[in-house]
Amino acid sequence: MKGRWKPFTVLRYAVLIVTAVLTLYPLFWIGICSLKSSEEIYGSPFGLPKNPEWENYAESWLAADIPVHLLNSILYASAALAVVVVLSSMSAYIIAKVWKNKGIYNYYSLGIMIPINAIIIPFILIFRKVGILNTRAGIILAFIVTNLAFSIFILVPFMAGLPDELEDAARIDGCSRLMTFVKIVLPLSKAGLSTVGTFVLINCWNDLFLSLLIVSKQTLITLNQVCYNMKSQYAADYGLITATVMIMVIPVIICYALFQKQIVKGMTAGSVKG
Amino acid sequence: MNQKNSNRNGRNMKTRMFSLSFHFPAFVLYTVFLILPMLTSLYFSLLKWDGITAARFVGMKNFVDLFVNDRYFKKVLLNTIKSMAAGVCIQLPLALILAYLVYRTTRGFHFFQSVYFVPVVISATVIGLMFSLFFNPSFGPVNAFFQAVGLERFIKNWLTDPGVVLFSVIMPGIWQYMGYHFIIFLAGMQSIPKEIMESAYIDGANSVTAFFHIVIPNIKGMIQVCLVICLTGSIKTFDIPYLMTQGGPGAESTFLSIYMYKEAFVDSSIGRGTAVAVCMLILALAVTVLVNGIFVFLNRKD
Repeated sequence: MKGRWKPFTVLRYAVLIVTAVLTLYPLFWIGICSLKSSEEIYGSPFGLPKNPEWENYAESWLAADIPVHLLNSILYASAALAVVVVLSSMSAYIIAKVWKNKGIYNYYSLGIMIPINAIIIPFILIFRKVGILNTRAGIILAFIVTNLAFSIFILVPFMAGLPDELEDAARIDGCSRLMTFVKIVLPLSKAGLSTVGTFVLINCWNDLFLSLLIVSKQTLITLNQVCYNMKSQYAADYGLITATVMIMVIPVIICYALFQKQIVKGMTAGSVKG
Repeated sequence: MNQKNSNRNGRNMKTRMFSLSFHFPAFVLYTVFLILPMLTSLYFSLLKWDGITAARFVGMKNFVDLFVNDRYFKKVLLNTIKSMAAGVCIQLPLALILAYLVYRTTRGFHFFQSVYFVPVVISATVIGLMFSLFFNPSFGPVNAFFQAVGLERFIKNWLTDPGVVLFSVIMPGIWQYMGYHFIIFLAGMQSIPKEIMESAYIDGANSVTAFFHIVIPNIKGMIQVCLVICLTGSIKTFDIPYLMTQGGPGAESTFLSIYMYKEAFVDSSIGRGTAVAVCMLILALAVTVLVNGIFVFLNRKD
């Protein structure tokens, strides 16, 4: 058996390793470039930096105003996260435990089939009418409403799967609906909530489309928009651009290394449920 | 008796009020900002409107214009379909094969599993910027690589040459999200009961036959989900190509999303832009229904 598998095993590992290299190389290359001057990038695109230019990072941090935009990104994503988790768990609780209604659930499922890009025009016109274009409230609201349907879609089956007995017992003991929700249902839904939370957080963090349309004021834009503007703003200073890319990538990679299971679960939530 | 009934009614009333108010905020936000825009999209697509002056009802004219008179729309639609095809014919098969190879591996399993998912967690904007440097004609590694191995005829202006620009903007998306489908397929394979796999090998199946006769039928559900995600994902693709080329040169690397964005928000033709958006909506729904329909049919035959 072992002998028969040998050539296949070698081939398999070869394919796996080559793919791993192809996956990581672009990031690695950017990392190398971020420590070079523009001249060195042009001169030897593959070579390791001769004397690493850490100034690229300092320069990018200041020139691109990273702290402001980093805070914006964090603020928008975490505000949306908080509101979505609260509202969707409230709604999901009523659908799953009180109404047990399939119709209203399907109404929310419709929302995950609609790509936001396809309804963006009236969406933005409503924002303009209400007067929340170019405001923090506007972008946060946009992040909330685009993530609500999916969160409810995930939470309803999760909460419906919780045993009714615990809840009944609490209510016989005189707990109100609100108290049962807070004291019994929410703690039991922790796994579902954290999946939804991760999903919302990553979605907001990675967004470009909505923020490009809703906020354009320099003090309000997100990191992704900075990244988008980089290309035209610092057209030729590639050391600076690649350093900015690294500043955006490194924290994400660290989070991924720390919370890998949770992140994978959050991002694949809809698909595994089917 | 009467007292009791009215008590119960009071309580039911209270429950109902509570449920309604508890469910209300999410319902209103969802309805006002998603369902309403969807319905008004259908209406807007029938208007000639710049968003400021009075709108004029023009019926199906926007759609007729798109399909008959528009210089770019057919190209844009074709680009979108090519991107969908690339996803289904290149990305998904590669992800499937990769998942099977990792599934059959014991040493390094977690390493490969983690590495292949790395690009998925990075934002598409960053990926777009990264690849626009990667394809840079003067110092990008792609051209430098072809130079180094002596394949000069592959040295191209990847982001401006109409012949290859579509490839250049589709490729990063394939690269980035392959790990996503990979993880889903792998999870599917891991949920196949070990005994089924083992008995297949005892019966003399080799890796390849086991793949087609055991693995594929057992992860049909995952394949269905990935097909829908991959196809609808291609329909709404925006960040990567917009960052790399802004759809140019001409409309060579423009997809429906980018075209809609330009029509509505750059040229201020709300009606035409929404008509493009409605095409996206119909395409996305049609693809979802079609894929699910095919799988209902396939599952019925079992």
